[in-house]
Amino acid sequence: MQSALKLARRPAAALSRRGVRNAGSLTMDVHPSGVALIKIDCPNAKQNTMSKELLEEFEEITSRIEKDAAVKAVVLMSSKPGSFVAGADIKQIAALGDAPPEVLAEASGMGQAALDKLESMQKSKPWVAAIDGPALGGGLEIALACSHRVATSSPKTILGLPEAAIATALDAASGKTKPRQRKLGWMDWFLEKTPPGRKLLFDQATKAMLKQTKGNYPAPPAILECAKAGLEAGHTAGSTVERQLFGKLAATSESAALRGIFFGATAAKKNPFGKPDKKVETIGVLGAGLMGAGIAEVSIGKNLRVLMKDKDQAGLSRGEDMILKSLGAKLKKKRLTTYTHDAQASRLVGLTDGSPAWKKHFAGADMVIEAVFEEMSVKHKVVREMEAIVGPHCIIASNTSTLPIGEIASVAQRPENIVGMHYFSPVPKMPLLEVITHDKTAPAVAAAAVEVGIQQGKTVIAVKDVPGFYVNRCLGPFLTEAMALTQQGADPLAINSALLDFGMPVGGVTLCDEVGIDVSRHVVNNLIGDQAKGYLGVRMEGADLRMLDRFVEEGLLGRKAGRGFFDYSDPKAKKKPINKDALAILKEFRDPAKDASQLSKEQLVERMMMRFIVEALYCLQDGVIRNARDGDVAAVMGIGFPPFRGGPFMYIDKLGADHVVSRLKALEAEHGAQYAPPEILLKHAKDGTPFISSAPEPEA
Amino acid sequence: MLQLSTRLRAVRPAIVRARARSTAASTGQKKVVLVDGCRIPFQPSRGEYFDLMSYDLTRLAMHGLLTKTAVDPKAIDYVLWGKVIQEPKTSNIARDAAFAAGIPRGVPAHTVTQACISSNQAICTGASQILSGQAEVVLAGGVETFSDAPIRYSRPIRKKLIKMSKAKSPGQMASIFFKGLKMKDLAPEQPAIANFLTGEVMGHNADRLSDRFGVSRREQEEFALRSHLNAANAHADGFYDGEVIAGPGGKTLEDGPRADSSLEKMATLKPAFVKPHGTVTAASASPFTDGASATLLMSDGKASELGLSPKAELLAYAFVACDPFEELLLGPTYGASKVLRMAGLSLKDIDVIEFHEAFAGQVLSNLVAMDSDKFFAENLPGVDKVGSVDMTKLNTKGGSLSIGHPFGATGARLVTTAANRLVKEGGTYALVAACADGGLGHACILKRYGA
Repeated sequence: MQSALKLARRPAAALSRRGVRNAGSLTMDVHPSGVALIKIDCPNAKQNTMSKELLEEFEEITSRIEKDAAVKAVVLMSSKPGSFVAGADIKQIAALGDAPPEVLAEASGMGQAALDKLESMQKSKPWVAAIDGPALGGGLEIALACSHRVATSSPKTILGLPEAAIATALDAASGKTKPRQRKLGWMDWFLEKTPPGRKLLFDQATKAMLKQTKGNYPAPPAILECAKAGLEAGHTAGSTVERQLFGKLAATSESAALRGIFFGATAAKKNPFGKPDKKVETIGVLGAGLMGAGIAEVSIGKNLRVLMKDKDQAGLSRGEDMILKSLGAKLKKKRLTTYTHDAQASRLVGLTDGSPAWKKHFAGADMVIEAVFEEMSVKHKVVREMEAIVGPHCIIASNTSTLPIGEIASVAQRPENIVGMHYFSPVPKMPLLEVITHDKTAPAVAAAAVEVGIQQGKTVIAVKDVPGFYVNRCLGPFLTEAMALTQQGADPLAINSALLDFGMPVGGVTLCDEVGIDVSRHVVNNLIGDQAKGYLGVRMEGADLRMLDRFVEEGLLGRKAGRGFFDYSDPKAKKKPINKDALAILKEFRDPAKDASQLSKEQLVERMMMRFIVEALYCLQDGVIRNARDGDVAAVMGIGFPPFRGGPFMYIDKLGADHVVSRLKALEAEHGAQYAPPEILLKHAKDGTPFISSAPEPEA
Repeated sequence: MLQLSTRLRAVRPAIVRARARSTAASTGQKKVVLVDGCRIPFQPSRGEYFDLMSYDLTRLAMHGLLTKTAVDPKAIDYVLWGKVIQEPKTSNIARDAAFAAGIPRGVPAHTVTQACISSNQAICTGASQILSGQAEVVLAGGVETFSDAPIRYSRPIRKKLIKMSKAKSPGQMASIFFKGLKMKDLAPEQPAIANFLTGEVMGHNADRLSDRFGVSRREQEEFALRSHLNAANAHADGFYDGEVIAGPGGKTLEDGPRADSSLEKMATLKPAFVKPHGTVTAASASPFTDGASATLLMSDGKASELGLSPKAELLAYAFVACDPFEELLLGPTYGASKVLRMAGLSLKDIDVIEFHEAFAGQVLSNLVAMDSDKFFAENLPGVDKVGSVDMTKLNTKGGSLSIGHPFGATGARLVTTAANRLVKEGGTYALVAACADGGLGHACILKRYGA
């Protein structure tokens, strides 16, 4: 730290006579015309963040400018290209995480004071914020407090207040910034200045917010509370409320969980296998279906050239259209310029079996990702065919969700080049990628696969080659339990709503319908088998899964077929009714020995989530995942485990390992060995150690 | 074997003929080869490509050819593109579209314009760059769209607008605009398909030409019908598979050729240009069409280095110019005569003939002129006539009358189709010829690669 400070101070000597170098992050240079140029440069960081130190400096420099008659106007910018101020220093909040709310409130108050001072001097000494790169959270607040802002048109320049996502922000609250910037119409006057108007405004806002958050996120209601206080009692009162609430929020378990996911996702952006030897530039994608086209789309967007091949022109055109439609939508929303749109489109090379030159194209590929039919013989055919065409350095990646990578590689001449890359559908929306190495995968190949995933903007976790890998492996017992509950008379709608309230993005039964019941069956069946061979054995028990076979036999394949557990025939129906044919099958498989129809929401959730958690624990114990943080990130990003609960491991930490052990033992006694607590959990319970340490991991 | 070089063009015809027929190995001089070519489907204007700019059609054709040949875009040394009606936003369309087609930024590009032989000029400029050692790999083609033509304000309004940009107040602006404003000034100005010097519309000239060479309306319509049937059959037989690459949405069919055309229907049409007694109608004139076509040219050495098997060698090419008043569309006759002499070949040596069909009457008039001793005696004294064109060799896969005529793109289509016919029919030499506004003409000779 000492040396860093010294380094940061050194350039001060080079500044002009009137140049002033502040302690760490801010420099000021006053031009003879009276314009002061303040540059932000947080030492040893790629992005400037709003830390306590920066705020202190900022407050000091604004006081100085206020008094300095020579300064008539100020330009505020960053000396890092592509970075203004990217929001709060989350590590610092995490470090304060254990402090009492009053300490946190004080930290927040410091920021408020600086902003108030800044805002109050705008009439006498106007400030201009010159923005290049992200201006987020506190960074944007500073920019908004300035009288003028100019921003570059760089794609890196984004303005936003994202910190509600980590449950800390109360930005621009207490009614200070926005209302002042627009003209007040009579409607605004009614809604903001009159008590019945305010009541209406905040009631509606609360309703809309609860619909989205289901009361699971504490920050949005706090933001509303701040705004309300600001409107009702004025700016100072609003600020006081803001300070207090910030302190409370930063100390919540939700904030800790969301910060944990943030750190985990940041860590997953680093390649655990190191830098690959050779950069992948051209990727072949086999199959232009939803998966293949999705992989192609995220690749061309990130400077990779993609050779996308399908059997025939019709199949290829479907995939190409899907991609071009999505690019077109981005162009319309101005997220792409005409040139970047066309440049991305030009990186897509569409090929069919009939294209005379497809083999020649593929001979130049650095990586081939296959997204063909999930059948071992088909995968083997692809491996053999590709090895005959591609160069010896070319990586062959399989985007399988169920087949063992080692077995796919068994027919390969160069098994060291074979790796699994399990994307989640729809690829452009789902942030997770599991990279699966088998026994013979070369480290450089694994490194390249992870690098490609990171380049594609994915959060990548490295996973061992076991059935289901990590995400689907945990999902299997969870879905099994959902089936068990339906067979024990629980209402599918009740199961869904219990999970939605818990914070899952879709209910467990709907999930089956969404991915397709045939696919769900495939995922589930793939996990059944001998534990000694890596399958789940007893951990897949609890339900009669032949029920899914019956669904498939009857053509009840889920949403894509218009009917599954639910009936999708009426596209306008908001709540899809239960399908009558499904009810008949459920009756057929009704387990008379048990009755789950009277279970509370909490009991339903516990039954299913505990199955998920047990499997996640086994994955950690058996080294399927590298660490608990990866397990949390993958659960949140892969299946939408409620982010504010932080993933299975942070959730265990919150509940307490000993509590989870006692619940599991009770469930085991009632339902069977599928609930038996794993060794690793017993150990943590005994030692009282958490799975995730509350402090961020040291930078690698 | 013969090589095309600037030196060679000066060689006396007799000697050239002797060398052309010999099969002696290359003397080490460069040859220009056509590796491959393609076009996005040519489509009637206001149809499939109504929403696209010529820039879009161009990048699709460029990208399509690179996909088809699997040549690394980094290997390209130069890009040349033909275009007739300029979109002011993309006046150097070659450069703008090359960027968007994935061709590296470091590859220079320019746009050429020479009326309906613009893409022939692009190809031949590329050939001369290769011969002179300026480049080894050239992407050359052309484009046209009538769905997005630059329709302008009239000149008086344009003058007012330019003056107004200096105005200091809204009042001043209004006074500039309204002072001396005539109603007719408000009419927008469409680009005309007419010669600038003579003011004569192409179709009008074609009508007069047909009259001069005694080509009847019936003959013109028979030729147009033949064009439609040939094109429709070629599509149905799969001749165009690979040559016509998939356009947006995967479509490879062209909407121009109509297998259901008939002489009866054509006979009902009214003359389109010389009214009421002219012979050229909408059926015997090439229709407004949007499209783009591309070719990949290389030195033969570079092609073999890259492991490519070219389709044809560009043996000889010529550009000619004649009187725009009376011989506006007779360029093919002069061009064919010149290029045959340059290559030392006679019409009998030619297996494949591809003529641009601007108007049925224009093609048929040229055929009469080519076989006319009188015409040659009067206009090219001392030069033998080209001779009688064998109709079984001419435009057997359709032509501009049916497939359509996107001005800047037709030339590269003719060259590509001629090369593909040579390959598929096993012939040795192909003759390509086209007329262009301004009394210009172009002709070139291709030789099947390895023949």
